[in-house]
Amino acid sequence: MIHIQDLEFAYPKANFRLLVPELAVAAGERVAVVGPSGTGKTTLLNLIAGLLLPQAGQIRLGDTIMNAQGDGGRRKLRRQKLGFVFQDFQLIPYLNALDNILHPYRLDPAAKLDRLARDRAYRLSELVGVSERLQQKPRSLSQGEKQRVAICRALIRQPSLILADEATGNLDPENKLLIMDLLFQCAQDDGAALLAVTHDHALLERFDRVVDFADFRHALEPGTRT
Amino acid sequence: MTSLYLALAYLRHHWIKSLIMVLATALILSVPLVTQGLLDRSQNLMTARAETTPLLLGRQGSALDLAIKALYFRGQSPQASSMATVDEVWDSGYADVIPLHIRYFASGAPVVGTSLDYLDFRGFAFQSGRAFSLIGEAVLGAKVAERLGVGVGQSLVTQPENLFDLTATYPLQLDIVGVLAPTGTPDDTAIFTDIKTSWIVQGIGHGHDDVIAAGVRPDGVVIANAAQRQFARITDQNRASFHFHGDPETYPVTAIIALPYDHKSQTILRGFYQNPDNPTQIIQPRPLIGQLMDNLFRFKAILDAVVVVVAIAALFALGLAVYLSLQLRQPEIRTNYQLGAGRWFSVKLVALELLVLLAMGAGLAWLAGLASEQLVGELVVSLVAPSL
Repeated sequence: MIHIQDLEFAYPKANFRLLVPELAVAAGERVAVVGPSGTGKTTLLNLIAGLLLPQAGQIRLGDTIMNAQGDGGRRKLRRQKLGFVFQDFQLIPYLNALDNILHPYRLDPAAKLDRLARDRAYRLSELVGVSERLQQKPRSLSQGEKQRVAICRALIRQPSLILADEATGNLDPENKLLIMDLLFQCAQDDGAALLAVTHDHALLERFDRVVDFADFRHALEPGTRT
Repeated sequence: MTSLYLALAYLRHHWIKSLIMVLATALILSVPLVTQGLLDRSQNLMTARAETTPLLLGRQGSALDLAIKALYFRGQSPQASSMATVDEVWDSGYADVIPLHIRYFASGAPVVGTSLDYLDFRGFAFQSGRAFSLIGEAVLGAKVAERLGVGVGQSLVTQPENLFDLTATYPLQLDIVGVLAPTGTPDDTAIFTDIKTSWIVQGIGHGHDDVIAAGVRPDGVVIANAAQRQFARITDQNRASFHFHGDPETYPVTAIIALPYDHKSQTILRGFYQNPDNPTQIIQPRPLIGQLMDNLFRFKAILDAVVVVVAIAALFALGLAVYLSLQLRQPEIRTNYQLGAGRWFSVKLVALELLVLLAMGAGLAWLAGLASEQLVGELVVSLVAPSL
């Protein structure tokens, strides 16, 4: 599903460079990304999502090279192929839970927000246990409920790749396991690959593979800037 | 539709902010709309009134005071002319004349003493009752009747000009014999009587008990009882006792409406009275009121400039509100970007929200304009007619 090769990236004023010689995640595979803070885990997710562009290397999503696309192409890929679960949920405050789940449909002019889409939203919400809270706005939801709604939003368009950036970071231990299991279940049902950044070692044994990010961080030599 | 759905959801969620912005927009837009409406209505009302009154005569003095008093029954009373002038115009054979005596009030409404010709001239229709035919009878304008809640068969009492004038005449009770249909003009706010009735109010005519001579002085002067009763109401029983003192030619009239038979007659009449040494002035209300309206429109230009400045300031304030709102919405805009929203999605969304707010504000301003049209009409009448 994802194949990263010879990836090189550095922020303009940072003193380290992210180097990923090779990283591949197959369809349906669940991969955890671990590593100390500041090693570039979130940067990698942003590179895969096309929010950042590498200085060198290639990020391939299926048959498409993400970093060869223009801004419009990368946005389109995000809309159609990716599902994002953020640590802080990033729900739209003025939309209720149902509209938040359906939001990706509204962002894509090519998508049709029809009965099928709504049925899927209801099914997903039942699966994660928020079907009774669909008319509530985010401010009325608990942290766990917000993250469940965010998971539904990430899955609503059946993405082929789910990117989860510390998706359980804001949750209590009980909810962490529950939410991660739900994410696994939903990803498995849709045959989606899952790449999850996490600091939580208790969750690691549930993943198919763990990538330690410390291997990818390289200090820049003095005077070197990219 | 999707963007509209989201825009409306945002506006609903932040309904207080939306409401404030709609009201601010409505206010900015409605001020020029309403003032324009006010001026248009004033112009129509005042011009129409002036246009239907070809010539006015009165005592030399302020032509504007004369026109405002004769047409709208409002403002300073010009110095009174006399019935001699009425007769003079009548005798000239160039015009029909309608005398107006406008000096007193009853329950806050001006009492207009005139002849029955005035009612025909203005083309009045009656809501109820009939025209005045005897002294002491009055016909009410529609708004006066509505405001006071009185009608045919009831009565009103005239107000003394000065409460502290012990020599003033007694208030006179006026019997209501008719109520006019609404006209949308200052006539709605007036009380019409025969001119003789208004002279009685002034004290030129009066009625009292028969004089019973208490004696005759050696020089032949009859001595009467000082406690003789003066009538404050004209009834069928005492009507015959009412009489006038002095030369009828000297009886006062505030203004005279002259209705020339043709253009030539009008020109001759104007020529006759345009001599500044003549104690009587003649005016054509239309150009005079036109001049007044021109001044009002000059004021409107100043008002427009003020409105533009205020609108610019208000737009800056609204712009600041939108800018701050955009700052607060950065997380939402970033989320949309991360989820793959098109380049112009957020711009379109915000623009649509503003468009909806502007449309609602404009709609509200339009409704305010419509609603104020009626109220403005009332306001104009109250501006040009004595306040009720």
